[in-house]
Amino acid sequence: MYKFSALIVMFLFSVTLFANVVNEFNDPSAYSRAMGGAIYAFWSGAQSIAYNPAGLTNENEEVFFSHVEHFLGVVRNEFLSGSFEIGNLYVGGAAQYTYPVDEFRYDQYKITGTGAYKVGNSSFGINLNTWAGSDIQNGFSMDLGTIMKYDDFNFAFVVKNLFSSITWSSTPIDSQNYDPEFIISGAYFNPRFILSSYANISSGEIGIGADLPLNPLFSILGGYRITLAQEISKEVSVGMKISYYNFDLDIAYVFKESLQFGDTISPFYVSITYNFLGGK
Amino acid sequence: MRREILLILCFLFLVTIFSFATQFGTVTANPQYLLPGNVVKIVVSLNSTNDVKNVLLNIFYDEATHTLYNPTVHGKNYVWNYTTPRTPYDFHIQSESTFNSTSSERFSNVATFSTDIPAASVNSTIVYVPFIENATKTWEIDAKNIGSKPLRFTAFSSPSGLSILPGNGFIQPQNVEKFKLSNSGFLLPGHLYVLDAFLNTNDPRKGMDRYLLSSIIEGPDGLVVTPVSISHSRVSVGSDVKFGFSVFHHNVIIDYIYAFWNKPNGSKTFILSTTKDLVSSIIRTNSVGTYRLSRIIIGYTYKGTRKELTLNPNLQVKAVSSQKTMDLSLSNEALDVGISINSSSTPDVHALDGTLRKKISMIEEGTRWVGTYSYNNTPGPVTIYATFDDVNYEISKTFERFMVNGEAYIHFDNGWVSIPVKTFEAPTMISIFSEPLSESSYYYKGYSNFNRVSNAVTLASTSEMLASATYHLQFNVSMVNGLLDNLRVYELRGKDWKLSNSTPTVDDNVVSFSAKKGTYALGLIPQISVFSNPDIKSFIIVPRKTVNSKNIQFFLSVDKDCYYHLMIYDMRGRIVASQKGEALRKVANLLYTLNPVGYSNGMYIAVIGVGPSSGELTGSFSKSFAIVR
Repeated sequence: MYKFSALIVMFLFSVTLFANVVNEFNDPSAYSRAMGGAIYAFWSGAQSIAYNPAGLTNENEEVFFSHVEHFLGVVRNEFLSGSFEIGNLYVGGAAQYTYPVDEFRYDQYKITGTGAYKVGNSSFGINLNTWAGSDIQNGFSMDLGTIMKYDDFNFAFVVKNLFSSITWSSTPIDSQNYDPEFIISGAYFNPRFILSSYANISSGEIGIGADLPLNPLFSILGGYRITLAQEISKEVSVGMKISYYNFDLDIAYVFKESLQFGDTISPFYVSITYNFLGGK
Repeated sequence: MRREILLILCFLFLVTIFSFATQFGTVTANPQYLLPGNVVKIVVSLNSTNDVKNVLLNIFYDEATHTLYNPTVHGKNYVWNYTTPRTPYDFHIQSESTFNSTSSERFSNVATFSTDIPAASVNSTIVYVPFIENATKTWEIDAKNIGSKPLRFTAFSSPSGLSILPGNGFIQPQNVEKFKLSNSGFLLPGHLYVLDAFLNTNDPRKGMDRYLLSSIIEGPDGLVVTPVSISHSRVSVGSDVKFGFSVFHHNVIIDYIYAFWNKPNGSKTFILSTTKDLVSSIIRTNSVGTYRLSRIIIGYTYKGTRKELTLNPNLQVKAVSSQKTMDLSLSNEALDVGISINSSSTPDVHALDGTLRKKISMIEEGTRWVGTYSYNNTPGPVTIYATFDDVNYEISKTFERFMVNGEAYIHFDNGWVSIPVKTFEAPTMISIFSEPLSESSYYYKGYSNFNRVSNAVTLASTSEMLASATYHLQFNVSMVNGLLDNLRVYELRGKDWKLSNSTPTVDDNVVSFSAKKGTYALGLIPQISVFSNPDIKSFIIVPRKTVNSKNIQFFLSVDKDCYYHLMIYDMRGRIVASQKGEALRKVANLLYTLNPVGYSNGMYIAVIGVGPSSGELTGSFSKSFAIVR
């Protein structure tokens, strides 16, 4: 069975790796970044909109905000999202703004509307995305995701940027279509720790992460991620999670290509979540 | 006036009818057309002179009637010499005969003559031009209408070879038209040419319908240059463009021929051969922009006097930047040239080998098209050129073949090769190809750690060299930036550029070194100290935002020679391009040229790291840029 699964994964990698995916900032959460990006199988509430829309069904109503200093602050990313529940139906929305700060005029916006539904131990979600920006006329895509719980394990399957098309303000105006991204993820939950992993088969991203709660208020986080392209990019990440009343504060620091560059291009993440329901 | 004319015409009509019935003689006027004031000879020939008492002549014109008496009699002919009035008229004449035996008169027919005509007057000239040359000569000739009606004309040259303006039209009475004559034919020195310019007119006077404007006699001495031709007018930068023309002369000695090109970043003067009728050379388009063949000056001696012929062809070649490249590699074992073209579309490739033009079959290998051409074993240039369906320019590369038999000095685009005596056992043809190294050819030819400052030159021959040749390569002084001690010779071995064992000698902007056949270029070798950490002075990305798939170049300035590692990340943090190498302590090392084709639109980050060793980067810098295709 394992051999068969491995063969399937290898096949998927071989046919979809280095596909023409949207060049966007796709990992805005500090919690995710500290976990090597592996939160696709989590019901993470409002921040799940950037990962797996099915993760919206966490029985909370939240507002989430993150700020990222990417590549030593050359590029910044702001992400704001929110969610609320209507029975088993969850509705959310997100706005993302990516921009450089090195005297280069370029920016990119992404607006997302989300719906998710929980049935027993499974949930399903859908994102509808639109793009805008200094060089983008318009754009559209759809994300589909699911999370299934089995004992202490969660499994997730996500298809991102389905039917994606972006019209760029080039001359002549050029509408470009992109390949969908197929993401598989799994997580193991234990009272003393959480382990998770994910693979974006289309863009060549593979990450693992661990969440070690030291007490109800404080967790330490760690992760490792590689991205496969012309060269392999390696990232070691550390972080912490502080939960206080209705607030969650996550901070992540990533050592990116640290063996070559030290910490000179390492990203810094901070994100905060406010839960209106106080957690259930 | 009009009414009176009508009355006269009616009268004449009736008289004519009557006279036909009773016509006794025939009246004629000669000439029928003449100028006012000229004399017309009027002759009445009678059927019989028996019983004729007297003959008189009635002349009708305008509203007047004039009668002439006392003709001169010659047998049956009665003759009057009539001087026409100074005012132009149409004249009608009829004779009237009286008899001794009867009181009735007999009339002749009615004849006409006219002084109301168009009439040309031309002072024809003969021009003798003993020396034929390109400079266009013009001559002016006046023609006047001395008549009283508009003169219609058509001008022509016999044989063709003269341009005459105006070519046709009208000259109003008493007006003058100025005719401009110029050479329009191509006259070869060594012959004598007679070119006549004529006017065909409607001048009715006998034999006066064609006028000679001018007779131009040219030759046989002279110096003539054919129109200059260029092989291409729009090319990819780096292409070779052939230009040429023929020089014909007779009784002159050619001293020198110069061709002046204006380039985007300066000018270039070609000193061309004076020993051949067909003069040609090749200009290499090293920069994007317009190349203009502005002047050709031919110095010559004619009858002991030194003179110059200056031509201004004003021919232009547009060199455009291109994603497409062509590389030639000369084989050392056979008369073969390998062609490698980087193009997303199918190239149509031809070889111009002397006067032969041959199509070359190309095979697609990944993103490149490769082919081979076996060239002829005859001296002269071979041009390989490619055209494409999807762009409006061509790529052209040329190499030269020389027959070497003993000592030889062979010049090429950026230097020359000295070949000593006994280099070859027997007369041998060698091929030389000088090429500017494009970024893509670096990668294709295994570029690494090689800061080139000159074009590459390839010397190939099918026989072994028994002695080394001396190569003299010019280098780009601005790129060396004073680092003369860093100049080295690099050699292409297989598909990699390697440091050559040859020791270079620097003299002004030329480096000399001894080597046998092969491919060589000059480069700067870094002198990196492991004890000193470099600082990044500047890291420049041009352009920061690329549209229409234009290349992006990355330049680095550092305070000392060092190693560098460039990585380009997309927004997901993936390394989508990278380059390692050595940077020199000079301004703007070109580290990398990114072809955006194949990359998704959006923002990217270029991260440059520098250090005193390849494994230790002690400083780094990041900069964003965008691709919007």
